[in-house]
Amino acid sequence: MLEPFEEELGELLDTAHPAATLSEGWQDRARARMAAVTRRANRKERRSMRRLVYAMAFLLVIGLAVAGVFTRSRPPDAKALLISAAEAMEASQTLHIFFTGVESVEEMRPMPGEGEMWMSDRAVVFRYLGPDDELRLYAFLDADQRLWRTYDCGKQVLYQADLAPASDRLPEILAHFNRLLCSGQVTSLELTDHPDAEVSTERISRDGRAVDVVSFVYALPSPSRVVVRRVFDLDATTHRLLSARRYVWTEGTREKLLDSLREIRYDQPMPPDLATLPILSPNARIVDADVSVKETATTLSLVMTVDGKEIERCEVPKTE
Amino acid sequence: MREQTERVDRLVRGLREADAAAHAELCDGFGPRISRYLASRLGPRDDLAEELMVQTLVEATQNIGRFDPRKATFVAWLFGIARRQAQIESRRRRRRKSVPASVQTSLDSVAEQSAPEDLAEATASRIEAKRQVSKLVGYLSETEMEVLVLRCLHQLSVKEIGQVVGRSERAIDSLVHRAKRKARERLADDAGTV
Repeated sequence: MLEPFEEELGELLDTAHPAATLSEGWQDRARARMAAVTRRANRKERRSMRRLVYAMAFLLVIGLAVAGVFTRSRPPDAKALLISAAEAMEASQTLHIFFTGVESVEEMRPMPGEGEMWMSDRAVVFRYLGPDDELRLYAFLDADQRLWRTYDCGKQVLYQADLAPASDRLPEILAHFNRLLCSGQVTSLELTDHPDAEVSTERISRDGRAVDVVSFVYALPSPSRVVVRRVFDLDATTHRLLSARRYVWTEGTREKLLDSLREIRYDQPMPPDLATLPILSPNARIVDADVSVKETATTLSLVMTVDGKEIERCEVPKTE
Repeated sequence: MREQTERVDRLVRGLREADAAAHAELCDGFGPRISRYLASRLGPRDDLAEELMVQTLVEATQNIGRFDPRKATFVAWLFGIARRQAQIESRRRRRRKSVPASVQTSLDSVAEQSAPEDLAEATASRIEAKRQVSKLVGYLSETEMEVLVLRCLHQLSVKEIGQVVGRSERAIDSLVHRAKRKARERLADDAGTV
C-alpha cells in the first residue's frame, strides 16, 4: 500500500514518464527468442565441439567486418573517443601521469609547478613540486604496505597512518578512485558538466602517429566570464589519452595555458622506491594518525583522524 | 494476494518446463512494466529500452532454474535482471547521471501521444511534471531517485526494492524515507518559488 505522498509522487512520475508505446510484434520477437534459448539449452548436449568452433569463427569474421565498416564509415565522435580513452585508462595495470601548473587566470588558480602521479588497483602516489623544487603536496596510499601518508607544505605536517583497520574495504575504495579519476576527472567530466560546450574533433599526424584531437570550449558561469578550452590528444589506434591541456581567457585577453597533463605512461612497473619518504621542508613534523572507514547508504570514505579530528578524507560512491 | 502468488508459481513452473504459454504470459504480464522501468533508467532511447526488456525476459527464461523464491519475489528477481541490463548499458555510455527518458522527450512526441482535444492541457501538465521531476533528479542522488521510482511508480515493497538493488530492507527503508523527505522539501520549495 502506498502512502498519500507516495501516490502523489507516483502520479508525478507517471505524468513525466508516460509509458512508451512498444513496437508492434515485440511479443512475437520475445517469444521467438525465448523459444530459441530453450531449444538451444535442450540441444546443448548434442552439439559437437566442431560446430561450435565453426560458428564462433564465423561470428568473429562477421563481427570484425561489421566493426571495420562501422569505424570506417563514421567520423570520430568526441564522446565516443573520450569514453574509449577512459576505458583504456581503466583497463591499464598502472598509470604514470606527469602534469604541470602554469598560469592563474581570475578564479582558476592552479599551483604553479610540476607533479606526477602513479596509480594502480593497489596504490596511489602523488607528488607536486613548486618552481623552487620544494615539495608542496604529497599523498601516498598503498594497500600492500597498508600505509597512508599525506603532506601539505602549508601545514608543515606529514600525517601517516596504518591502513590495517580499513584493509577489507581498500580494494573497493581504490578501484572506485581509479575509475573516478579515469572516467570523471580526466576525461568524461566534460561530457556531463558542460553539455553545451562547443566540441570539435580532428585527426592529425604527429611523429608518424595518427592522433585524434578533441577540443571543448565552454564559459564558466561566473561574473568574470572566463572561457575555458580543453584539448585532449588521443592515440587514434589504441584510443589511449596521450596528453591534455587547459587554456583560459577572459573577454579582451589572449588565451593562456592554465595547466597540462604532459604525458601519460601506461602499464609501467611501479618503482619500488615510491614508498621512500620524500624530502620535506626542514621544519616539517611527522605525526601518526588513525584510519577508519565511514559508510553511508551511497558513499564509502576512508577517513584519517588525529585525536578524533578529521585530517583527510577519501570518499567514493559505494559499489552497487 | 494468494491468487497472485499461485499465478506466479504456475508461471515459474511453466517457464521451467519451457511451456510456450508461460513465455506468452511472461511477455504480457511483465514486458510493459519492465520496459517502462528500463526507459526511466536509460534515457530517451525507447527502442533500446524495449530491446533490453526483451533481453531481460529472455535471460529470465534462460536462468529460471536459478530463481529461488526464498531469496526474492519473482517481480524483484525480474527487476534485478533488468537493472543489471541497464547498468551494463549505462556503463557503456559512461554517464554518471541521466535525466529519465520522458523528461527528455520532445514536445513533438508529447503531441503525438495526446488526443487533439486535450493536447494543450496534456502538454502543459506534462511539461510541468517533467520540470518538477527534472529538479528532483538534480537534487536527489541517483540511488535515492532509483528507489523512489521503484517505490512510487512501480509500487514495489521496501523488501522487494532491497532484493532488486541488493541491500537490506532496513537500509532501503531509511533510503526511501530520506528520498521522500528530500522530494517533499524540493517540491515544497518549488511550489513556493513558482
